[in-house]
Amino acid sequence: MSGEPLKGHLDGMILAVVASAPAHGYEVIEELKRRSRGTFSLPEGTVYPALHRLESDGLLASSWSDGSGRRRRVYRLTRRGGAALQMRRSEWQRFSRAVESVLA
Amino acid sequence: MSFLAELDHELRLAGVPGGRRRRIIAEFDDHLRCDATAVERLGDPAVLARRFADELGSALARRAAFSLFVALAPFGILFGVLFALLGAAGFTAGDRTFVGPAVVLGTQIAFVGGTLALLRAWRTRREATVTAAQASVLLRRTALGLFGGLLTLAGILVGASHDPGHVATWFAPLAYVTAAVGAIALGWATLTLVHALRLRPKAPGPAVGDLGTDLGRLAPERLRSSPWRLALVIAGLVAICIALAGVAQADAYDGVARALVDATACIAGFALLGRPLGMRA
Repeated sequence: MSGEPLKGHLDGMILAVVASAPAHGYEVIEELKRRSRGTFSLPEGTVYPALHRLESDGLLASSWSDGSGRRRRVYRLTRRGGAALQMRRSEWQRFSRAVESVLA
Repeated sequence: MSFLAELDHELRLAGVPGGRRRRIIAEFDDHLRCDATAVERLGDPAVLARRFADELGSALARRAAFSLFVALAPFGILFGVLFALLGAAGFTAGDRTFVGPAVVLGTQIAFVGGTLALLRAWRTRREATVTAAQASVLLRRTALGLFGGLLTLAGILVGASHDPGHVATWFAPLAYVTAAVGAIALGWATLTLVHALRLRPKAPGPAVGDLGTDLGRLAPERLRSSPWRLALVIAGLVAICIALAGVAQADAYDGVARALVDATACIAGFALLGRPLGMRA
């Protein structure tokens, strides 16, 4: 699955991944692939603009980390990001239940 | 040219500032160190650079609008306190020096610009990217609100420096504190606006929305589809409020005169700035 069907859901999925543990860009992308079992085949680079935008919107915060001997930008969820994730989760549940009941 | 060099070049062309560009390159460099084969899956550098400009530019334009509102709030509250204390400080109806034209105009422009910027930023908050035209509307509204705030600030400083002689001694320091808070808050809002002006989205398309869509449920449903009718109703409500304030101050004639001037200014402002500020098609 790529492109259009993912539009509008990428932000929520990134927030959900970072909510589990702070992560750098590569880890976020790998975790998205792992959790979706490879279903989403978006160009990997497109996750980075979304990370930067979510940070600008105050939903993520980031800092440099030298932990592994390499300089990496690590993202973590902010309080506002946590609230936004909760809202997106409940919106998605409502939406998916409605689609399910129509399609079933 | 390597992927990173090409990305750096495209980011530069897209107008991404130096500090942000270096950070992006460092992140992609780290990504490629984690998986050297990922270069095929990262995407076209030109498309990525445009995406950075569009997404970051959209977020920065919204942030400038929100920052302005946050900056105007404490300044507005302190100004309100100052205004409410004019009588207690010994100002009389004849003392026109403190509330001069800069303060009268500035507060209204700041309120209108700040509110319009906030409404549009709030309405587009879930959009990953806004069009270049939409970002321009957001930035124009923010700039207008900021101009109003700065005009008010200048008016307060001028007013505080002209002591009519019979005013309480605590008033001038309070006015200067208000001005200082305003200067700090508006300085911060100016910086966020400058950041947003440096990186603007380039996505084509119109600035969808007008006064009705911005107000949403705050406006009656039948008025939302007609921005002109909505503007006339708002101007009418403003006029009624000002006229009633005049009646409450036992100066009905002055109240009605000011109401007419304000309502005319509202309509003239809507006619002149309605399009550039995205309030009407």
